[in-house]
Amino acid sequence: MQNRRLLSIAAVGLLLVAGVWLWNYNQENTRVRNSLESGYQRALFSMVDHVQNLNTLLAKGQVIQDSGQGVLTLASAWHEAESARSSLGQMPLGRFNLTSVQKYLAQVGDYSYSLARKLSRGETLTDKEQETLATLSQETDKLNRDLQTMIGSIKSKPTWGTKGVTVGVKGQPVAPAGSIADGLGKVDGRLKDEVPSITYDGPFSEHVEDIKPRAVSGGNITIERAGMIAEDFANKLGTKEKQTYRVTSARRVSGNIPAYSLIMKAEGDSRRPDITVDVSQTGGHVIHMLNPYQPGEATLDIGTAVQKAEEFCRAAGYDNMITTGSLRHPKNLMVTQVWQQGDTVAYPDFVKVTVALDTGEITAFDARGYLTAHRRRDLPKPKFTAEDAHDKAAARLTVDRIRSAIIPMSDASERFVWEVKGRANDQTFLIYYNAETGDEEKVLQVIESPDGTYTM
Amino acid sequence: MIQKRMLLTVAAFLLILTVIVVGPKIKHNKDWPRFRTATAAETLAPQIGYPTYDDYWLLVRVISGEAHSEPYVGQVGVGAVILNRVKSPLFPQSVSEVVFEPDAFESVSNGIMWSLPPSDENMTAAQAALDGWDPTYGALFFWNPAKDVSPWIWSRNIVTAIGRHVFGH
Repeated sequence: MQNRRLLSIAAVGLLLVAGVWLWNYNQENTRVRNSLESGYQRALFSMVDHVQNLNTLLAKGQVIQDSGQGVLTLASAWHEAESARSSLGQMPLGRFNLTSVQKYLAQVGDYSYSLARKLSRGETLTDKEQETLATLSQETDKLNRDLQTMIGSIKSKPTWGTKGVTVGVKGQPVAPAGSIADGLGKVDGRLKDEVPSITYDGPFSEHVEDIKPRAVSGGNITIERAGMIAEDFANKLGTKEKQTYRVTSARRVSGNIPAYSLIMKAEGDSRRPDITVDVSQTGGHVIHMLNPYQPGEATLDIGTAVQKAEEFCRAAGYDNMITTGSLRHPKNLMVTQVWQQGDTVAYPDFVKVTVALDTGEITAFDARGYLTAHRRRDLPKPKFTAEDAHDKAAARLTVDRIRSAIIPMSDASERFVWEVKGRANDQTFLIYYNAETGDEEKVLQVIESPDGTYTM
Repeated sequence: MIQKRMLLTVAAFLLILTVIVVGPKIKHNKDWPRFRTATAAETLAPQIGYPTYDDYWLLVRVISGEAHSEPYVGQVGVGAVILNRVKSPLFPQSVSEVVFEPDAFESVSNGIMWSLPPSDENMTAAQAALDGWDPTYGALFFWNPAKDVSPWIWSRNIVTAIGRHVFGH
């Protein structure tokens, strides 16, 4: 009898505890969900805000005449566009393909920035540029209206459309009507159809994606020939036991440099990991090599490792290269080598080599930069001479070295410059003066650390 | 007698509760090997945009979550896709924004990214990707055909397949 009572009291107690726990759990759950949702909602409303600001700035940008005001307005437009992009990336829309909105905002911002830069150099905008600005302003106005309408139609808590997704044309995920994903999806589709492609001097310009590799030349090679090239290459890597590598499998890769990717095994050493070498289908150039070898304790000094990298590059057929920098990782060293045309350092024509700091063997190689950019360039006689560069730089720093160079710009174009290395306030800088105009194209701070030299 | 048994039951229940609450905190504390340096995408070549230490760790985590025991080249590929997205106008503009874009990566959504300790190979792969190696030639997407993927993904231009992943843009 007593036992039974005890049992029922225990049961009621347990139920009570479970009930309280469940209630608490539910409360907590709702709180967490709301807090997560409000993060998404903040992103949505921020994006709409930024687009509205962007719209105003672009409208003003068309009537402003003074360059100072123009620079401020267009640089602010860039900032608003980037902020809008950032907000867009924080909404739970990752599964929907809303890349046209992202791209549009990226290009509008980038284009505004490029115009601001032009104005800051004291130049004026061409009619063509004014026209593009007007077009983008109109498109942004439409985008702004669409977004305002969408926000205006939200009567209660916004739904994102992550539940009840159906499959549309081309397998495209389709969000339920009335959701944010649905609204933005329509905007995305319109931008994709309506916005003209624009070409200018920024990294998001359409032409940057379509760059064809310049140094990939020669006839098409067979997969067997590619295998021979890869084996020959692999046997120059300088592995400790001088293993011979043999191709075990191969596949085609259809990137911007069509290639054969060859996987190779070290003969007679099953513990050695397989390495992968990509050889271009045109001309049989080695594009890159990756070896997952994990080096042991680092015993080589940096100087010796750099020498190994240089010897390897020569053996692989790269002549007239100089080492421009190295970066130390815990167990390996990455060395960058750059081609020289006469006395001119062609920075875009680089190869990278990674050396294991235990055995000194080469564990990675990459020639994509070189294959994309390399060619002999017609270099004009500098109007702005080395002496001019020296004099200009000497006003701000103690000059250590001047050499002529070709540097890549963010829109994949190149500049023929004087590279001035100098010191100011115990810090080292690289300043690049355009050899034609004398303009400062770029300023880099050089960071010297025990792990290597790099620039910021 | 029964009271004793009940006491035992309650004690066992409490023990189980303790394990559930405290367990995850003491599960693993494998020390990660320490890396000493920040990384530069292009040493001394005048380029803009220098990935930092925090980018490195995020990459290591995502590579571990998405491609833990994939072939090494496939691990570098996953790192390269993230960095290609950062450079692309179609995606947000930093490693953290790309990685944490809601619903973009499965291992971020389900938390595996933080629960799976990265291997040495995962770390070397992240380093190689930051140093500029890209076995995917600019791919912006990767997917595992064996898993439940959006049919839309197959409309991408496929560059290559490495291990269990298909890479495309």
